[in-house]
Amino acid sequence: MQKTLIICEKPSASLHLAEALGKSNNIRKRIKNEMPYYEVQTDNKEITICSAIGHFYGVDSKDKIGRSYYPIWDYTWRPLYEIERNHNKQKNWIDTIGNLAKECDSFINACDYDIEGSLIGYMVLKYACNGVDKIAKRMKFSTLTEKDLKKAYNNPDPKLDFPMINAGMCRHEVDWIYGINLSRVLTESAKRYSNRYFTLSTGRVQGPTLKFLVEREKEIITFVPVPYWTIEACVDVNGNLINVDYEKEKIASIEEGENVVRITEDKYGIIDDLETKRYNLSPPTPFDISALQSEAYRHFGFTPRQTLGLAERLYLKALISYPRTSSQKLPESIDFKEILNKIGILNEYEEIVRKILLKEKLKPNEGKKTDSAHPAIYPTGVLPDKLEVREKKIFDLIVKRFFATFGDVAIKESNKAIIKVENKRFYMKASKIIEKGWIEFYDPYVKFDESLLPSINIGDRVKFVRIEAEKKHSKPPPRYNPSSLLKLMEKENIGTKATRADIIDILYRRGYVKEERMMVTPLAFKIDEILTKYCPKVMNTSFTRELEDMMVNIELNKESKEKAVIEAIDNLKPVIYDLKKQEKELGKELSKTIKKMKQSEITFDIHCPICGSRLLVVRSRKSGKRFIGCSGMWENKCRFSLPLPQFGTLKLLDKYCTKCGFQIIQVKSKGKKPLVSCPQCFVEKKKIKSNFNNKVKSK
Amino acid sequence: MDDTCSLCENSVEDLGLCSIHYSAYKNLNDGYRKWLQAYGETLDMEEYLRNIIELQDSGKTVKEVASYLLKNELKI
Repeated sequence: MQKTLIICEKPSASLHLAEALGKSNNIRKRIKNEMPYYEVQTDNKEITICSAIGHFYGVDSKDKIGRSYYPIWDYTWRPLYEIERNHNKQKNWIDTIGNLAKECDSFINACDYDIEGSLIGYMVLKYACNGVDKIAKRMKFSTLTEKDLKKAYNNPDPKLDFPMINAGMCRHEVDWIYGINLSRVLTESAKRYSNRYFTLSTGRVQGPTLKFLVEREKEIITFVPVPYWTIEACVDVNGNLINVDYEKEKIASIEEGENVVRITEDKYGIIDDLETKRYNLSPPTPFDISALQSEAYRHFGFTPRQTLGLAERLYLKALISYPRTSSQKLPESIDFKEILNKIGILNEYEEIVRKILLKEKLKPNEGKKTDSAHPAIYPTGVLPDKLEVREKKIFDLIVKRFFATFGDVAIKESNKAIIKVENKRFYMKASKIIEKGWIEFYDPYVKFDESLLPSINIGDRVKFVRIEAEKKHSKPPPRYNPSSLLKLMEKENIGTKATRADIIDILYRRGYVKEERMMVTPLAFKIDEILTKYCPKVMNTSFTRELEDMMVNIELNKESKEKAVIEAIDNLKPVIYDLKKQEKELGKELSKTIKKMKQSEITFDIHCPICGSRLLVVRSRKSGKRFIGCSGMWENKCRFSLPLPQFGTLKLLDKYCTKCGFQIIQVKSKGKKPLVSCPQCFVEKKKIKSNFNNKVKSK
Repeated sequence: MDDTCSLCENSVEDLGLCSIHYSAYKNLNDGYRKWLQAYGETLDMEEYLRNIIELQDSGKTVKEVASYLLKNELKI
């Protein structure tokens, strides 16, 4: 009997596939070397379904050389357990899959259908299963539902998707060469100069992304506010006081502002005209991953990475389609009616589904963006069993968005009364939704402020009861947050939908940015300065975009992977050799910045209440305990000190106690909520408590 | 000659200032013209700089340059 080995990307996906292909009584779960896999018996076949756990193989230097050596131009693919720590479990899995492959005569890659999935399956089939990639087939699906999985199993592609695999290999190889060489130049320069290790990194996508942030920060720190005036006015209409807008939103001089006030003050205005306009508000397009990430950030404050993780969990529970998609299209083949009917079973969606199904034709409002591998994100119709709170939020958002795409155009009516006083014009504005359309289906994720104009006619007189020119100042551009940065990366076409969120995360981990509104640190300024000076090309968006385009061409089989990699290496070589020559100078500059940054991390903004010197986080040489001490201890013999929590990562926040003004600290311990406290008030409270206890004892 | 910025440890770009403090200085000068348009020619430089230092949205380096100018009789 023919025996087939199917490779999935994750264990939960292999369980879904086993359940889809077998009947409950002919699925056998096995565990070998801690790896679960499933054996399924069909009429004429035995199927073994196993899975990887993400990537098992990665790029590494060809020769085994130390972690500090650079430049490196020769590379090879190796099992990750040979390259990185904490991957020992993977060795057992690779061996077990290899042994299972020996008993099989046909092979299928059923990893997620995208570049990474194609590459994961290919590597396992090639290296763990002794080169069976040449005879393996490819299953393609966008959901883990029984229907889709069966269809994909019965109609696999006869061979693996090699153009996609090549594009994936090219991305990994180029990113590795860039990342390892540039990051080692930075890290090693600093280490060799100061003898201290501090991880510094940059890369093909990380560099230009950091540049966006640095450029914005420069705009903010060199911003000069400019004064302008707005006219704040209020008219009396039949006893109702209504705010009106002046025809100019901003007035550049105080003289003009005062002039408008002088002309209008205590005067009557005439209703010169009444305007009514109607606007069509089109339904939203189906979610692609970046739109989902941005909407989840707006409504729930989830970072792009958190949203991606939650969406992947929903996908692995078969509740939604594959989330790493850039498509805004929903093909009819996914059977909208069936999905709606299934979701409508849930009470909270029953009423909306009933309304949508009244429509003659179900046609979603598709967007322009496409993805050759997957449709937009949609709920599969599988009903959730137990979801954690955050999963539930993302699920609801996806379901409601899916509903909204089928809605009718909403109609908004705007009304404007034009009030004239001498030659000045003021506007009284109101707007309301007159046809709810899709808005009804997307509640509570869309909100409009509605208002009504009072009953007035052309020629009516209204009295200005309040008018003043209010001074304001222009504002600097806002800092990026993870969501707006992700959008910018997408707009500039750098990184991929799968990697952008990770890149943003790395920027935080490296200490290049802090806070939710991404504030750039001095270290990031220095990295940007060095790289822009010595290798401007690497920091240039167009350079990394060219490489992205090249990789798209490889995926389309229009370009060879080898050519792209050679070209990328040729571009990088002179940059690295030039940087290596400047190693000492780079090391000096970087070490200075790191030292300053480290110092600022342990220096309080506030001063010692006794001697006025700076307060520091100090560690006792004797006991090893940390506490707040005064930097004037040596000069002024100041003995001021406050205790600190001994466990967890300590951070000095840019916040100050509302009671005593002392700087607030935060302590983060693994698996616990961060502790935010005022060290001075903590001591005071402790004193009060101990006095109270003493009194109780003495009584 | 000292080749570090008068206000920080970065290397000098122009007028004894690093690139960031120099662009803050340029923005301050451009801003002054706009403030003159807004308030009329009576606004003097010192008053302008004091205003800039007090405003919350003025950039950090702009405030540093403004303070430096006030301390050094408006000279860089």
